[in-house]
Amino acid sequence: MKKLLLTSVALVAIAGTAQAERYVMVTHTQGTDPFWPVVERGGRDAAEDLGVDFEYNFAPSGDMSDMAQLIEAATATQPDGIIVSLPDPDALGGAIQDAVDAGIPVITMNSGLESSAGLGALMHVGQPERDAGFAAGQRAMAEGVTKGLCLNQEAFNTALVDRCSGYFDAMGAELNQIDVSNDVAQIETRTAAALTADPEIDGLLAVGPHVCAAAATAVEEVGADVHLACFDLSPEVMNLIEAGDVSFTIDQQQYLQGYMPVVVLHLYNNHAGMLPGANVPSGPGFVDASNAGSVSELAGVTR
Amino acid sequence: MAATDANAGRREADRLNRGGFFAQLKRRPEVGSFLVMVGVIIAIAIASNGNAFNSLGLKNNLSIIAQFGIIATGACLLMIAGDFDLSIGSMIGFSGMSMAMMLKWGLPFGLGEATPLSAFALTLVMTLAIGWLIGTIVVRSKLSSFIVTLAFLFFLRGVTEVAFRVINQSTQISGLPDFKETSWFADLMGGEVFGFFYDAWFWLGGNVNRAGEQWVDGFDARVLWWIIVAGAAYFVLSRSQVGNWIFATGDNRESARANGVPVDRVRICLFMFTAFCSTLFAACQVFDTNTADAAKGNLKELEAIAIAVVGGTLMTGGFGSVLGVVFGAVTFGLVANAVFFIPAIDGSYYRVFVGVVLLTAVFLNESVRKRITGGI
Repeated sequence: MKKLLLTSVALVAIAGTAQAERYVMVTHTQGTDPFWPVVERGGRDAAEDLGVDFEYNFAPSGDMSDMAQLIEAATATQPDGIIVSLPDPDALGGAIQDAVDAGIPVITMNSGLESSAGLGALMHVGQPERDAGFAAGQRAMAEGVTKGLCLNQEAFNTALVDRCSGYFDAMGAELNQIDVSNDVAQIETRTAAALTADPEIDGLLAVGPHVCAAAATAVEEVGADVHLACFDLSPEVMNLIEAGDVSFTIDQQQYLQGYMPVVVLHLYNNHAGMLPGANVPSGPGFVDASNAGSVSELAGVTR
Repeated sequence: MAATDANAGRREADRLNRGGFFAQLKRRPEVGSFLVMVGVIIAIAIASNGNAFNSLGLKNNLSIIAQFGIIATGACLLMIAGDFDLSIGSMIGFSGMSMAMMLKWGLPFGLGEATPLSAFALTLVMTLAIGWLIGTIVVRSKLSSFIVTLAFLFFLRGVTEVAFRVINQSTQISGLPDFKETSWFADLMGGEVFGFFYDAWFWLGGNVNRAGEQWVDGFDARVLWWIIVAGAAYFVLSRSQVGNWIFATGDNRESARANGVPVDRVRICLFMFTAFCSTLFAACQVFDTNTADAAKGNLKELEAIAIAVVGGTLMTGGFGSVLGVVFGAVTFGLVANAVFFIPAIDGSYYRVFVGVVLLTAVFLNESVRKRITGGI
């Protein structure tokens, strides 16, 4: 009798949790960068707007196998959909495929455009990084850059390297990048050093917002006339754009990478598999002096 | 009797004064790290066509060297006393977060608007308290400091991240007003010092930028702080009783205790000193750039330990010198920064150089130490 009671209580509990639509997001942030909280907020806002449940998870170690375990754990809870960033298809592919095989709709976002479809994901929401770098390079060339240098804070991160190589592909030049590290003082001194070492450089691409701000200081220090283009946003970058020190920054609009997948999964689940006909490119969106004012109020929160 | 007269005033330690000037110099514990430093300076000066030591190069290199030097001094004293502090990097992130957060959102407990001085002071109280807590846990629990500070490495980084996300929404604070212009304290931390050096250089005909004007106005303030911290540490370690206590604590804890050395208090104070150095590091960066983010100081604890080792500090405690760490900081800072002045080398190679220099320095230090101590 007691056993029966317990079982029925457990069943009711399971049924209770299973009532609301529930989506799980797993990302590859280590929790310290300013980028991912915006994605998380996008997902949460979408869930609130639609009245569904939303769970967010990441592996603080940054280890891909830890992240794969999080995806497996999410699959085990049988959610109505999984949203996952895919920086390493080899390490995460198995876990994603298992989720798909278990009948859970999966949407990839941010990184992993190339392998998204192959793993059985419904679609991908993100910014094709090489294309974004290419757009930056084209615009920089139109604004008079002849020799560029890419400032990369994580030279082992393929997405960031793609931005750099796109920039140089647009100019028809060889990849020329330095690893500036994530330490603000070192970004500044290394950039100044590289500009001193090669006075012919007249174009810089900083692939992160904190790199952008430090690079602007370095350019001023060296006293060189250099075109500075950046990736992603922060209040400081917006100030630099308004002051004319930074020509433009490329916004991948990562809020969309959190918001769109929840909406798409919701529509897919409730309207007989309704799905957009193609992947959604969340960027590149250009932010320059013309729209910096309106964007800057939201930088770091939803932009 | 003549022999006794000749021996008047002689002490046992006089045996160290035998031999010529070079023989004495060779016995200094810093000689290994000094040689590595000279080698690195010469190699980089040649390879960069002198660019690494032009006026901006000198300023920038010293800026990196100084910030390495500040935390390495703390790490060195602690290592001499036989302990490690792996929480240095996270402590930098924590104190940077704390200062920037107070400047943006005001002091906690409704104390009103923060000034740079009050933000720094309150942060320092917190970090010193955490340093005291770490030290007390290590001393009371008799656990290895490696484990306890490893726990604080995670704990403090986590607290930093959570505080950012809960209070600030974003894990980065930027776009603060430039406090250097309004506050003497912020200027003292993040401004420029020794302007006369560059004025004199300009007056002598150098220090000219591409537009023909004076190029650099002064060194970063952290250079002054590094000199103060290293000077104070040198005085304490080499010229005071506390210095003897530190060496004794690291050499043989039980016999030190038996000889009346307040071993526990020495260790706790040194954990508080590394916390102080981390806070100073963070303050110099925060007031210089007016930004802070949750990743600040990442991996800095290992760099501090590496510099202390390059500077001749022994991993097992009881041996080391502040002067050696000064040389170590110069070496490490140059390798981490000046490689970028060399156009022929891809900047990504700097970690390769760091590894090579680290190993070379340790080999040299090892042979020097064996010679002067007779093989500990």
